[in-house]
Amino acid sequence: MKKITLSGISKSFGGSRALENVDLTFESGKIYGLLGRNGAGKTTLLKILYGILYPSSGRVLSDDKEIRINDNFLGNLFYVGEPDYFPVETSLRKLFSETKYFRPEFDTEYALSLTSLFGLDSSKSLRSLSTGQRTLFKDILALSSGASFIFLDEPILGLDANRRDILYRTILGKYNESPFTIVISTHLIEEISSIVEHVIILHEGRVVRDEPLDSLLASGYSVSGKKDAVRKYISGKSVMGIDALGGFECAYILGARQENGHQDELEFGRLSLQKIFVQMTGSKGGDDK
Amino acid sequence: MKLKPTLRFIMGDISIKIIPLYYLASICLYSALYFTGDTSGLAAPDVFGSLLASSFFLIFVLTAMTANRSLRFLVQVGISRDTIIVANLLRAVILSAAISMADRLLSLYMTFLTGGFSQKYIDPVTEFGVSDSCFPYYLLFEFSLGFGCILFMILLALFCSMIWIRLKLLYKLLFLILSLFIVIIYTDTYYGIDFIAESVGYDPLMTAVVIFVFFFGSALISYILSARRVPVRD
Repeated sequence: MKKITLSGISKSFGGSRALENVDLTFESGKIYGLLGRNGAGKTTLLKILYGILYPSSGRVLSDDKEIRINDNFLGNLFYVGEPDYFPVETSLRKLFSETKYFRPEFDTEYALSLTSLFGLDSSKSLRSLSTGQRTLFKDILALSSGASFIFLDEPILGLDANRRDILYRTILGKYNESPFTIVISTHLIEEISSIVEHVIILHEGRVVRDEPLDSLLASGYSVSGKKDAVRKYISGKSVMGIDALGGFECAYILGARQENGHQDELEFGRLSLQKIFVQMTGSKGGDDK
Repeated sequence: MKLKPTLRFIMGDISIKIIPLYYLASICLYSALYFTGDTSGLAAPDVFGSLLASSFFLIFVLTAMTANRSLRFLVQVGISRDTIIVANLLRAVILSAAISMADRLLSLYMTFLTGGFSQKYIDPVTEFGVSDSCFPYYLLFEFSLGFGCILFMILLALFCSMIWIRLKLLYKLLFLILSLFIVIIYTDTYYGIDFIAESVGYDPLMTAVVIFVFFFGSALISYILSARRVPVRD
């Protein structure tokens, strides 16, 4: 399977719309970052892909052919998310062997090696693990699954900085060994910007950005300096947003950098993924929905 | 379709291992009652009725313990709904048939304990009291009651699955009504198959088949259609 396409996917829960007419393609051998505020529809999207939820409308295509979500299709995918769908009283080792029972390509040895790398005790039950350890267990399961498309929903939930760092290096190591598609949905945007190649931003159930990270970061720039100078510079330009701090301002501008007479008083910089995300999805404190 | 591992997984659940223990405990209980001389509650029809009731309860508890748990894990490891539904149907059939058969065997054991296989009657020629043995297999394979029980238990097992995987109330009610219909039609001697066949003027066997196909078929279809889209509980 070379790619999975979602075409016109919508999903409603009662009267509330979680996804609206989503068109997306996940190609093989890429690391995707799926970003969105709370309630933007990220988890719903991933659950639809894995057959946990059914879309209200729309189609799922595999290599441009419309498919029914069956065992063969799901055998190429692996999804782990925040809820524990595993029997919590079972030991990690047993869960590995039960997963292997259904997915012969599951690499138990690799799973056990990651378990010791992260300092987990495989004889312990899932119930006895902390939030971070459970997250790690699910990440290990996904990375050992042998699936060609892996969907990680909040894969760093509850992890300390050291373990997050080991996890990123493990993902990249595995990816370099044999490229697979990995879709990471997280709120720690800056951290994953160092490993993702392609970014999808969801906002209020719609895709607002779907492009390679480099192109997204090159789509604009920031300019900062004294308020008056910044205001003069940005006049007539496409401004995503402005941060103000005392008499200073930092403006985020879309498009290529243009020279004009005010640039001596100003400082120019690259856009960061987090800034782009915040500017695109609004700065309200509450959830989107 | 990964049907074989799925069926093996759901049949291998720890709760399924309760079944032999349940019947072993039943045999011990009834034997103890017999050997302590208390045989008043062991009359065959009463025992069979209470066996049925406890077996329905057993199926309910077993399904309650396994349905959602299995569904969540199977979905997590990438088993499709179609496979899960087929495996659940097969499990319901296997469990129901096994439990119905075990109930009948236990009932026979009770009948044996209480001497129910021997019937006394007055020989019209010699005018002496004579004992005769009933043919126990008749009780075991007697059509309508046994068949009705198996069907009802299958429906009950599916119904329980539906309860625990959060289906719409409408589907649950539909299932319950169909289940009750089936058990009444197949087990009630007065309002049963014979009564309906006589009312519509058909052969009783043909009537039984038509009713079976209609009710059981519609129950299965509604189960399959609804279970295909039920969300997994987080």
